[in-house]
Amino acid sequence: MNRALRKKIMGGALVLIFLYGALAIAMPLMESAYQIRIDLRLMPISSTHWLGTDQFGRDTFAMVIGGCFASLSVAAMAVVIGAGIGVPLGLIASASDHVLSRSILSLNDFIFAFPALVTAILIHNIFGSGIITAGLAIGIFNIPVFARTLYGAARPLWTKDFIKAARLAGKNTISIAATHILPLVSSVALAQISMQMGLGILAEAGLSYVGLGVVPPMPSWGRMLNEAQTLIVIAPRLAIIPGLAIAASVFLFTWIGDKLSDYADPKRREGHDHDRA
Amino acid sequence: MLIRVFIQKLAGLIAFLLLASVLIFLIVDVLPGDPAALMLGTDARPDTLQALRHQLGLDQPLVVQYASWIIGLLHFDFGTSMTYATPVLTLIAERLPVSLPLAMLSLALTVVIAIPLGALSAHHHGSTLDRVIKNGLQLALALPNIWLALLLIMIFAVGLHWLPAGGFAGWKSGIMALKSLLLPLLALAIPQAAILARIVRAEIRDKAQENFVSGARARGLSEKDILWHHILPNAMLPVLSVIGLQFAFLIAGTVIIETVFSLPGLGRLIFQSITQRDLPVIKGVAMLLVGSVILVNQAVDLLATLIDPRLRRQSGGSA
Amino acid sequence: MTALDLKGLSVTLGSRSVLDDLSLTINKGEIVGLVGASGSGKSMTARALCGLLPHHAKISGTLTLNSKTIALDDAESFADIRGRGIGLIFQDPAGIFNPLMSIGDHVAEALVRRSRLARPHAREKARNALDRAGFPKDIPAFDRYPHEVSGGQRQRAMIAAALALSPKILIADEPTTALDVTTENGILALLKQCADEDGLGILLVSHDLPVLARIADRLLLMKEGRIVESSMLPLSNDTAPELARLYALSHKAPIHTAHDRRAPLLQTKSIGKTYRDKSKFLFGSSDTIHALKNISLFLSESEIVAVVGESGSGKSTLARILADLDRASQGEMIWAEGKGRVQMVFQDPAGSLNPRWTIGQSIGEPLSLPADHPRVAEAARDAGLDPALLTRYPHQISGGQAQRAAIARAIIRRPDLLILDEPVSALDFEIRDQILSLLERLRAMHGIAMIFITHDIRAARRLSDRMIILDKGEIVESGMTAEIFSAPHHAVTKALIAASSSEERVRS
Repeated sequence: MNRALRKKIMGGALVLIFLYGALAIAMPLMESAYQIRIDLRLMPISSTHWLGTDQFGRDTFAMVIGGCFASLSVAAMAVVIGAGIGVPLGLIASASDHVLSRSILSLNDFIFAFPALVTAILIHNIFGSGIITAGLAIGIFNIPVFARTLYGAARPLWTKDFIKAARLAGKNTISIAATHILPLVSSVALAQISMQMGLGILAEAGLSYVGLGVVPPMPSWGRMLNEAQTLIVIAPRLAIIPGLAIAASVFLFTWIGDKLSDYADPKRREGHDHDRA
Repeated sequence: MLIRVFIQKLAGLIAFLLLASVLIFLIVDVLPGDPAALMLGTDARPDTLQALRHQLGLDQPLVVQYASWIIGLLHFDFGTSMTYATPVLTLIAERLPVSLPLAMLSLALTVVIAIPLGALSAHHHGSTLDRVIKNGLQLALALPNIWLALLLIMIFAVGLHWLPAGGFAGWKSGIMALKSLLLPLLALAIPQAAILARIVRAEIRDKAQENFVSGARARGLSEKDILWHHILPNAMLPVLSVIGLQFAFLIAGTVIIETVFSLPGLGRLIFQSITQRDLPVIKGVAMLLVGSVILVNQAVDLLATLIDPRLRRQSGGSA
Repeated sequence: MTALDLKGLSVTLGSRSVLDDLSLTINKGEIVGLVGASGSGKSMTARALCGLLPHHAKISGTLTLNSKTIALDDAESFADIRGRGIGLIFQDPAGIFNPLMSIGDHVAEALVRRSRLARPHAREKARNALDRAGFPKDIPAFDRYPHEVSGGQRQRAMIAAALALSPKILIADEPTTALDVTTENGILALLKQCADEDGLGILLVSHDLPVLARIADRLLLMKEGRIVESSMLPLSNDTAPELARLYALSHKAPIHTAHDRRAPLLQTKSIGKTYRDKSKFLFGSSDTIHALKNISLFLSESEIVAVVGESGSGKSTLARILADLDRASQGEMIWAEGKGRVQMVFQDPAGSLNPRWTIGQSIGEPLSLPADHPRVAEAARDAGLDPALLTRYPHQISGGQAQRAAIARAIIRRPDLLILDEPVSALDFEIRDQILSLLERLRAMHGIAMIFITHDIRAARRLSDRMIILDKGEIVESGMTAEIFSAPHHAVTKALIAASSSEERVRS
């Protein structure tokens, strides 16, 4: 990966972490805004309540901010689980002999049968609702996603001659994986991470809508949609705003993921204008 | 040979289903601790708990519990709901006429939207049309299906009064039934179609640059023939396995969307049983959902093996 | 009688002029050889003749075929001409056929789609075309898929498909480069037959001059987008000095070194390698493949031994075992005291270098040296590589330079043995000679022993002291190179020598 891109990515990651930290700090500060205050119910947009209040008197703007924190937390947890387990699995599968890699891929296919919702339903009895359930349920489904992507990217590399040359240079498999394979698949992994952050936010919204996600008083965009459903005639903004927030943040992450993916797999064939023998 | 392949896939299917059942059993019945206490609450009287345990067969060794559940499943006995005192299978059967068509139709709609759109975009790559489609797809996939559902309700039900905002009158009501399913279908299919269309586009672009396309051109075939007989068939193979994967998403989506539209499907059953800790229902429905995803994926796998000669022929040729 | 007349072909890509005012003719029944190094524009010329240049290229010039003249950027006319007037075949990397379509259907396809023949009729004609092209009669072409037949068979099928609509002209772009010598001969003979018997005019594009010299009636030399020389065969120094010079390269005298006593370095005793064919399903019996049988050889210090064989002979397997990248199933390897350092150079120079590492980093890898270490620059210089290139990436240098980098990496640790697996097969003809000379220099300078694995017995003759011929995993002949060439014993050896004889013209 060239230096300029690497700097951009690190910069972007830092901004994200900073943002998340700011949210984390802001959360306890906004607790009063999440209190139920019937006297403040359904106020329109004003200078005190930038996006108005909902049917429980909670400030909608504060709820959106809080929901952002919840979504990012769950999505990030899911990505850490998914990539933390999936990336090594995919790499191991790509480096292994026939039997081991087939087993890992089969395991992958098996986990694919458990969408986040089903897993959340199943583990609800153990963990109840909350960040843990949501993060774990989405994270488990993320594992085969990452494993499969990394396997696909790394597999063709192991048979290349420069890997054989590295072996002749005395390097063992782990060293080769670290110095040769990993750098070559890193952009693929990063693209997938960004993608899954976006998809994780979507999944969290779905889980929160049905009550399997974060619990009150912590705000959640999905739950906001649920609560707004009965009021779409009176106060449509209560349904529109959280959905917009979800769509915007998902779009941001998937768009970044796309750009990284383009970089990782440049189909610059139109540019190949000189022939080789 | 084909029979070998079929047996292989069947064996895989059975193995996965067994493994899934073990997992579901463990997570629902074993891990939480005492299912009886879970259902009745921890401050229930000990003799009530004991009675419930005996009724559920929880005083038996785990293996026996699992075995009786599995054997029951094979006889289509999914156990009895604690809330309704009805066989779980009956409860499921009542709701399938809503959920099953919804899931299948949404898959069909996804494919019907995505493939032509992706192909169109790929064929005109670089043009304004392509760019419009690409950007549109990127936006569409970021839409939460719930929000899309609410927006559709706001516009078409509340605003224009063309379609109902929820509820299902039963298949006997004819057109009304389809009208009830239209908005749910759109909410489900549009984001999934966006994801699939992008993949279709990418695969077609990919295959269009392969050497065999140059070969076909060299043999004097028209661009149209090349597209339909060479590029598309090869592009559809990976797309097929993606469709299989999307089925899992669509199943989960169906369950959630049913809740949005108050459709009397499996969704409502599931969420009620969660609140009421109705373990037999949870186990049964989870097994059904996971089982159907496994089935569909194995079927897709089998289909791919039948179509692709490289997978079919076990005997590899010399280089 | 002129079948094809190309006038004033010029191609510009972006701001770069790739082809400059090219003109050539092809007569009926004539084989014209177009030769040049990579980047000379010969492949582009071949594509221009079929209207297959990239969309964004600017093309000018005209083409006259069957008394009809068309402009070279007239895509519509070309769509009609391709297949019917001009056929095209190219190098056969594995992907040239649609993996979902049978071999037979590929050949029949044009007949069905363009000539509108009914399927059974088209299949019959396709089978005939395949027979004529020498595709094995006992292989059911309509039931076999591309991955199930060999490279040579695919090439024959490609020829059958190209000629299915009976074009008068065939453009062949490096059709035999990826093939074994004996297979290559078969394909060349087939092409000659088509020219002689059917009056097919052929433009044969290649970087391999000796191959062209054996079959072409006329030769054209391309350099930097222009035709710089043209000559009938045989070549004479006066009319075509450059061509003559290049031709002489293939006939250079073998490198001889004084044969003094050398210390033994390595001995192998009855090495064998067996594989289980894992592609079979669980219950089916798996086949055991004997890749190598009973390989006993010895190697002295500073000696160059060539291992010659066609694909499937086991030579690559042997290379991997000698380099300790793979373990032998039977037998043993015995090194002389304190010796055992092996390095390897591979066939595809670009593929043997990590695309994201600089050349300097790759060269320094065996010693974990940073790219700016003086030893890295020293190794580069030893390999004839300009140290200024050390900061470049593999895609920024030529094939020959990349191979030099690979060699520099291999020698930086002063190995006792250097195994070279087809080190020059992927390189331009002119570069091959340079690399072979480099290897000889390195042997003289550092006393490195070498095992030179190749299917090209000509190259083996140039560089080796001794030779081993492999066939189906066994050694069928071995001895001093010069002796083997003057008096070969085994049938395989004789066939290999005969097939690559540069003097003999190909007969149809």
